[in-house]
Amino acid sequence: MNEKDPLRALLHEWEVPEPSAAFAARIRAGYRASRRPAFWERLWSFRVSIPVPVLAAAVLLIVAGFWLVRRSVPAQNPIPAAPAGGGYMTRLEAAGFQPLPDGEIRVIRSGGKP
Amino acid sequence: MAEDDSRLLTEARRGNERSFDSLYQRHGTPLFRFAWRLTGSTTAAEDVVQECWATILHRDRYRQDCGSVRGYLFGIVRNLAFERLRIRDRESDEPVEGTTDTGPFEDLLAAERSEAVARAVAALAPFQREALILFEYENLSLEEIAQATQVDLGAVKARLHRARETLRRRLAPLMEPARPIGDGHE
Repeated sequence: MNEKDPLRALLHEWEVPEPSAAFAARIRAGYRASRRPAFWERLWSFRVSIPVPVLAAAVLLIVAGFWLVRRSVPAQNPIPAAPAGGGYMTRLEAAGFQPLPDGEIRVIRSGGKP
Repeated sequence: MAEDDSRLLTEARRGNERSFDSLYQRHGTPLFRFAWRLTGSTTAAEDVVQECWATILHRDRYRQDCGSVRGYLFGIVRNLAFERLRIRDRESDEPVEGTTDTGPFEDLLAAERSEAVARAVAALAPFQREALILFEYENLSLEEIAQATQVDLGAVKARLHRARETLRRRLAPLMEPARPIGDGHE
């Protein structure tokens, strides 16, 4: 069965067509259509079916939960907005203020002199 | 390479398209050629090869200790092609393709020789034909042929020997050295 065997040389004169490029594409398409997708692909296309009443109850529970959490947090005074025109604004915080123990009280009448 | 094929096949079964591509690049064309030589039809060969790939991806029957992936693939194509041939013989409505190109004289001569070889190989007994095609055209080892055709090594050698002897006899006129024109006997 050496290379110079005339039978072997003759046998190799039998020509065979090559498969077309379209055929290779068909094989690949068949593979894609039938293969088991990778984990991340399955995760990406994962679907859950929920009955509408269950979904509605879940949404209501979430909304109620938010409302309860928001109610338990103490409300804070909103910081007033700065006046238009670029003027100054003084904000006085009187919490914890105590007058001096020996402070003298002076009453000033309206329109009077000190 | 056999171990590599085995790894590629495992990965392709898990959905790795790149592994499938590598496996196809390596074996797609030889499998098509083999199917074409057995069936004699492009359509049939394409169907057989496509079915072969679908089979190996969905049936987990390949075991590395039973031989190479190549032998396994050729075995599947062989079984599918024979199945197809049985159906065709029953229905007999699919024409067998032939090379009937007309062109320059050399092309015509080459086409005729190619056709003569095709006819001689097609006329072999099916088991001899498959052994010869796998050995001569697809360079499978005797062990791989035994794996693909599910027979022992001795049977493969005997089939190859008989096939070659038959072809040598049938194709003898084509193997004679050409005599110059005008040199023959009148």
